[in-house]
Amino acid sequence: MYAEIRDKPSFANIHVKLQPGDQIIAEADAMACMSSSVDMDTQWSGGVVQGILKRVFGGESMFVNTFSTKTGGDLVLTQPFPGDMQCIELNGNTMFLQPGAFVACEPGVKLGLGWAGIKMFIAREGLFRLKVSGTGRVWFGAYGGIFQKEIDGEFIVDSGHLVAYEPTIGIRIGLAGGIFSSFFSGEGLVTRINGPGRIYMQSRSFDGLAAWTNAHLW
Amino acid sequence: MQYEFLSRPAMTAAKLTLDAGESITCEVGAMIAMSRGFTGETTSRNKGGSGGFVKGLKRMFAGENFFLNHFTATHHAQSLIIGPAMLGDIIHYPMTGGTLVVQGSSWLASSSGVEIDATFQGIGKALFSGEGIFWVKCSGTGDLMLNSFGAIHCVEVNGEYVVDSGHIVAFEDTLEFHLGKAGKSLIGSFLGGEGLVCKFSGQGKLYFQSHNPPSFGKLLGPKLKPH
Amino acid sequence: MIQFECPSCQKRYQVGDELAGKQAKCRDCGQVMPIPAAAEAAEEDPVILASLVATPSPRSSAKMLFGTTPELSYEITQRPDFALVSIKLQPGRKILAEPSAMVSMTRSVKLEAGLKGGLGKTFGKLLGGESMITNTFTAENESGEIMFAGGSAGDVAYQRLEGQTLYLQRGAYMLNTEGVEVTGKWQGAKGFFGGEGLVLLKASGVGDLFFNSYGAILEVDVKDGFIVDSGYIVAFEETLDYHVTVLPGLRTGGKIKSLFFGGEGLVCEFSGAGRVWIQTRQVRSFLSWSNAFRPAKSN
Repeated sequence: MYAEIRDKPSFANIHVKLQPGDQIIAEADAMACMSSSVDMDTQWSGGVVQGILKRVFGGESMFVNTFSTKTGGDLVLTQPFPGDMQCIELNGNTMFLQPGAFVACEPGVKLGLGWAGIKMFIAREGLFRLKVSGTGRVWFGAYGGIFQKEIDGEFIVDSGHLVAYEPTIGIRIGLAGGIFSSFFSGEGLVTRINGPGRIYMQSRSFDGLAAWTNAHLW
Repeated sequence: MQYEFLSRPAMTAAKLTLDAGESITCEVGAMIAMSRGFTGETTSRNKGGSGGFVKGLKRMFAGENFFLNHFTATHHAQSLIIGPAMLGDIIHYPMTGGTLVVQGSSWLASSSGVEIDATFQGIGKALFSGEGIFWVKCSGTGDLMLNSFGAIHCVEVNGEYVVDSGHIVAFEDTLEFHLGKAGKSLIGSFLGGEGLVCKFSGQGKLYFQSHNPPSFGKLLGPKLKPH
Repeated sequence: MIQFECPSCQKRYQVGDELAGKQAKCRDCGQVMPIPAAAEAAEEDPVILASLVATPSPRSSAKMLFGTTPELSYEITQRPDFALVSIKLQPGRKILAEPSAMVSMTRSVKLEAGLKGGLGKTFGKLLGGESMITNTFTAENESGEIMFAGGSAGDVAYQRLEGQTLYLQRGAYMLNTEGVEVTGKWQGAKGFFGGEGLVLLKASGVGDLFFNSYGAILEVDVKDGFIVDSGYIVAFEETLDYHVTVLPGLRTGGKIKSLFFGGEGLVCEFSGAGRVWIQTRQVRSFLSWSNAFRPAKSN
């Protein structure tokens, strides 16, 4: 199935050319436009508690769409915010994504929701994670540019800037400094990472955008 | 009038160079910088004639007004740099007597030979009144600058094509359109987040943007300070 | 010369023919890849980094900026739309940063909060002469690396100050080294809007300054006189003459008042000689647009 990420890194979107037999699964409002010969089927993303998913996916629906065609057609899939996209091919391996980062996948990919692990109840990015496994391509995106880093040893990332990571990476979410430092520094939650493994980072964070906007408002 | 696009494709600004006597009409707030040799005027009417934006204004989003700034160069080779409100790109569309229907927030600027009518209601009030979308019908001859939230792509429609309404930048009025549901069942469409989409048929150019301001706004909104 | 692209992030490279087949590591994303060659097997050579010559990616209109100063090394990537600054500090060196700008840091870096910190306080009214509130990052026993980014989309510019002064729009401040002093300054539009005017920061001293924009940055060297809408100013050199005024007959958009730019409708008329950094988007428009999506206050 032909699928190309266009307009990287600022307004990345996926241009798909579907043939009969092809299928691509995408988040609820990811469809920008398509040939009228492309069919869209809505279904549950399967096996996850409704309430959690609703909050995690930004309060929108928890349905995903399956796109297919009988005669062939074009499809453009996008994400709600400006930013970059990346494609990875799974071959029986697993990857963890920020839940809001998921854009699309092929049918052989399994989606599951996991708990990233923090004792405090704070509704922020990074507390849940989406586990993608199986075989096939997964497309994910973020607000900002996406770049990779190979990690060996310890590394600290602001939680909103971590898009995806391999399962070999250990993560621990905590405060940026001590309590005093964290409260006064303006730096919120950080994720302490332990390699070895690969991580994907984003050069902006959605919470950072909200904070920046709020700082300008009365 | 000469034009040049800077900082493409996501933060695009248009640098216009005008000669004495030439003028350009822009969305209010679009002026970034300019050389000294200009006079300016704000109106809510098309400079060429037919006023009557009252109907159009009533359909605006609360708090927004469709005011226009008209800049006229008083000297030779004056430059004016303009940019749209949102991130994204700008394209030039040459008006040559046909009609282009432009999504309201995608209209950036036009030269004086282009007529602007913001009262066009062809697509249907009910769907868009909550989304702040309105349509500007452009006709006449001259230069038209369109902007997008996202990358702009053009589809030469020949048959049928489906676009989520928030992604429409502009379309030639040789195209027919109707609202339809995206998926196989009405429930599926609604819950799938697609709601109603626009189905274009016939022949003509359709410009769409890769991203959709209301989707972005709805995701960001809940995180912002209440008012 | 061999020209090729990183398969992961599409960054373009151009290297000598003798490197064909060798393993290389992408400077941007860390992807390890063989340099393409005509019918040569990849060797198990050590990863080559320094010899790669980066050419600008066709997608971005601005290339990566990098350099070394007496106090640090820096790299500005993801330009111009989502620029990211990477700072390398030698042991004992430090950098001051706008609170909440930190993206990542290596474990040897220590973070100390500014005393009155927190985002709200930082963006509060700075009286003329009052210092910016910043966080301090210090590389303790080993060298360290910290990545910084602003909250909004946009670019980052670097300026070395050797005693001169730069005026910055409030939201543009990002990073500085200790020798640079950043304080608040009001520039009233005399008589208009009840004394409100441009809200500016003043940066002077000897050291490094990084500032960011909302939108792409256009650098303009003023010679003949130039008018910039106040919402689009990022920074300008003190050598310029300027006065804040209103263009007669024109109304500008946006009902949102912002602490950053004073009243709406203000423009800055520059003359003399000096550089102005302008941005291709303005915050006021973003605030107007996003206003409609804000939740309603519940009573």
